[in-house]
Amino acid sequence: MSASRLEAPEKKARWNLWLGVGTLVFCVLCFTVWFPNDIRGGIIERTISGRIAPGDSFFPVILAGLMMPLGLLLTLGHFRRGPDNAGEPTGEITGANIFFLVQFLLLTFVGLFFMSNTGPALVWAWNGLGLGVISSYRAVSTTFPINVAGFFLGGMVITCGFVFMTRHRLRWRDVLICLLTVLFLILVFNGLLEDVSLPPNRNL
Amino acid sequence: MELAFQYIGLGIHSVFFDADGQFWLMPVLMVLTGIISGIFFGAIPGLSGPFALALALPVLTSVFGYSNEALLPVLGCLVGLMKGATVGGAVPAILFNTPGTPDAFLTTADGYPMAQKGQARKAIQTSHFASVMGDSFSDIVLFVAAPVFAVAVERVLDLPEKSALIILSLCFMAAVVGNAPLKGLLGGLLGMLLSLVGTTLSGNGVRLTLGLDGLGSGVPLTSAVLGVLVLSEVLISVEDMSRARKARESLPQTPEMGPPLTWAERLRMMPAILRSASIGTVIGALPGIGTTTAATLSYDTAKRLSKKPDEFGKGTPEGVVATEAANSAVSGANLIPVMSLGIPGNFAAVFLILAVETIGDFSFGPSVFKFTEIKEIDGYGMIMNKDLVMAFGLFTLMVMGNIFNWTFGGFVMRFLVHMARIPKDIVMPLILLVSLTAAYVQDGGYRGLGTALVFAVIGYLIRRLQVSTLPFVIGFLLAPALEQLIRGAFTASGGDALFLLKSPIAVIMLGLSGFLIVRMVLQGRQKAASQS
Repeated sequence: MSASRLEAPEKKARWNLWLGVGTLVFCVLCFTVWFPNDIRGGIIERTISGRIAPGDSFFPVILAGLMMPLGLLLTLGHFRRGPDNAGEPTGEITGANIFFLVQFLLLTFVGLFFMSNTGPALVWAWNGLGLGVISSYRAVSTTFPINVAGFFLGGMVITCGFVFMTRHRLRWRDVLICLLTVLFLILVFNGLLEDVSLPPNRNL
Repeated sequence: MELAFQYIGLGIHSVFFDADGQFWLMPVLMVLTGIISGIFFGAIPGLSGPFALALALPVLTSVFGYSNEALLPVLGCLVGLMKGATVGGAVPAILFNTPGTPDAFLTTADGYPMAQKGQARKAIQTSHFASVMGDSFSDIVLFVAAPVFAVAVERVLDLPEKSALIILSLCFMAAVVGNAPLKGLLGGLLGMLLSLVGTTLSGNGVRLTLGLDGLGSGVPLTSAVLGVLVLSEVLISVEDMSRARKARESLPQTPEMGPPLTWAERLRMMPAILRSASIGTVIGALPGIGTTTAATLSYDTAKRLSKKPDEFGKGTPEGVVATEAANSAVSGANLIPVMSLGIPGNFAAVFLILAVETIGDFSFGPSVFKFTEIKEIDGYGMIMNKDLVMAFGLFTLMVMGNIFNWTFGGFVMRFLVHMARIPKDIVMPLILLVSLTAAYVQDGGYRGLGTALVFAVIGYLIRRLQVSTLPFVIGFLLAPALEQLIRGAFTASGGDALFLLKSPIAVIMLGLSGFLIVRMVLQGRQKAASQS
């Protein structure tokens, strides 16, 4: 058996240690920084009538207090495991997973960028080409089709982008399915439902 | 007894007549819509009931709003989706050896070989018959057990015991879901802590917001759950499919459908169906234990008791009956802890609770089943427990769902062959856009969308570490109720630090919680040792 094969479970098991230590650090930060600065009430307070009552910190402190022994158990479990025992079963987060997450977030943000800016860009182009004067995108944010242009383009970027990620290719048939889905969502949320706004129209 | 029948009558009335007394069929139509959509949804590989519920909830609230009157149509549709998806998942499992939903995984063991032997129609009809029978059986148990259990809980349990019960449920879930109980429990506590952001019970202003104004009103509930449950699953699927880097294998040709299931054969199946449905109901009533456990246990029992155990796995209808009756029975029984205690036991129940939390002023819990005397008081109108009427209304909708499943379900299943051919690698990106849109529409625009993305990343990391997301979500949902109970119990004890240990019942429950965790930790280690 190769050395790398032997190292793999060891590397995986270390995630329990990271999680355990991470939990302990998180709890310490909760008790020393987060809770004191971000909760106005104390742990236990005395009411006007003199009764002892729990403050706003009471429950968060209990929760963080319960997390500490679990973090400790995970940490100790890592050091106390035998040569044939990997401790509590665990998965792992690899560099490839992080790279995928970055790809996911980038693609989503690009799609959201198009959703937010296509409408204003169209208004800018409309005014720039001298086709008319529109004061701002907000003024036409309920006018079809400009009000759904951003969602259309952003939605196509997100769906086609992720289909490409999964299939490593993009066929015309895939683009057509994405197009129909985006149009269906526009029909449902913009056409059939009242008081509902597609991105970015609710945040104007 | 007369009072109970009065409430049942009012519950049925609330389904067919609106608040103004006008006849309306909307709740019933929404059940039908849910059943049909659920069957189609369940037949698409990679999608499942909770997916359908997650995507439907924001659309339904957009259509019906947040008033009390919206609750029955919305719950009707969600219940229909839940029931339909369980039935629909079996079709691709039988025809193409590809379970439409995780529930139908074991159905492939005998359903697919049956189809290969030219008995596809019989296998599908067997699965439909067993599934609907199992579902109906567990619903009947729910209708009886939930009120009895709730009344008992309300009589026996006070604030400390109720707090201990929630802690026990969470420990039980952390222990039984997945292989890592310590990390499951840690996830549950983290979910609870995150749900406290923004809210306070004392009125001293917001807390734990990290100075972000957007968190002042708390973390948007639906978007958070959508992120953890649906988006994170989509992420995992997209990454796994992307890694596989192989061309999708085309699905095999639809096998010969063969002869239908006869009524004599249905009758002969009844004892096996009742046995499997009983197993599914018992398993389903325990929070956190899912359909897979029920189906596995039922399949093993059926094989052990069968006169022809060798035929299991080679295409026997007994195998299909065992898995389908058991996994369908889980869905009804899972609502026993939901309705009587307000504790969700599975992902589908999470969305029913979410619907109830966001719409109207109804809430699940033991107080729902208080049989308050119905009387007219001058100046106040009719005095009654409206929550109980709503509960019986929901039961009525479940019965309607079963009737639709019986009548239309089998018919709809004939058309599912094409749905089962939709490739997962196209479906997942579409679900991603639908989820993001739903989060935006439901929870205040980009605030909801951002929340869904943050929780998607949290859910993704949790799943990659092989920790179940269920305790996290359940913790997130139950934290407000638990905080209220614990604060109440502490105040009532006069500030006694051992306030949870004063009651013998609470001590037993807390002791059981500790025992469960210790036991599962030891078992988890043994499992890890055997794997390494």
